[in-house]
Amino acid sequence: MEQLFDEKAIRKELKIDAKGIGIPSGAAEIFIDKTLSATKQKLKSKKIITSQDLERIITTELKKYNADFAYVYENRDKII
Amino acid sequence: MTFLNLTPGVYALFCHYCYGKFDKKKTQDFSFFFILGAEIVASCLFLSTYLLVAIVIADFSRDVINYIAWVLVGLFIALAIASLFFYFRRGDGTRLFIPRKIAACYNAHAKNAKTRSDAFCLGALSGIPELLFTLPLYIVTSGEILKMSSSHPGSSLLTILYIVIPIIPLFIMRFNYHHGHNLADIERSRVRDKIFTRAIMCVSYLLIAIIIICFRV
Repeated sequence: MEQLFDEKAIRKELKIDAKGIGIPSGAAEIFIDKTLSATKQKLKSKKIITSQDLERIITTELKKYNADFAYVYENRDKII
Repeated sequence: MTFLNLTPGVYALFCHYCYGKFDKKKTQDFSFFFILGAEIVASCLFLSTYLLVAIVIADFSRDVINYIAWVLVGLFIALAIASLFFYFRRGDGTRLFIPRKIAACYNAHAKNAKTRSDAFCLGALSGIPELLFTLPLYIVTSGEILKMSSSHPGSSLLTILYIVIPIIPLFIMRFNYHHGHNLADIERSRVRDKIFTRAIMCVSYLLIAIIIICFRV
């Protein structure tokens, strides 16, 4: 199956963010797994995906599990 | 006041990524070296400005110094306007006036720092793009301390105080991280205080301009 996005890189980034804001590693793994599988489901139907689309979907999914996690992911490029 | 928002912003990102990648002890070690780098560059900049201002005051006539004072007044008024309208970019977050490529570079370096020297260099370089806003403050402070030290010799010790002040926000942030706060908390407070930061910067620059006009020209 063709990969819709670089899952490995996003997973690594999300793991760092999760540990940085103090989410226990077990819980972080579950959040990340659920977020990425939901993201893949949502992107399946789309023919064209922009990086903004991807970020928005991941942020929406992360918000369901941890507000701080979603906030950091959403704002990581808007801090400086 | 000599570090405005850039150094604390880079420091917040740096600590976040360090806590994400390393253990607590290593993160604290790296964050100390970041602060050390920032402090050393701030000290060097301030002391070299102090030396330059001392040379200018000793070698130039009163007219030339008055002329420089008027240039500084103009600069401070321009900075007051710039801090109100251009210091933060429009939109969400606390994106600063610096070019986006430089911001991305700081972000990448904060993310990839792996050694003490990386942390030190990042801290040392983090205040440089903001010099436009901070250098006039160094000049005025140096001039005032020099003026005071001619009548009260002990007041040159104020330079030490001015060298220590810039790193206080970094130590507060370090304390916050150590006591369980995270990047989300810090960034939310920065976003909440954005308008206040703009206003206080604008008022401070205008007040300095007025004080120079009233007492020094």
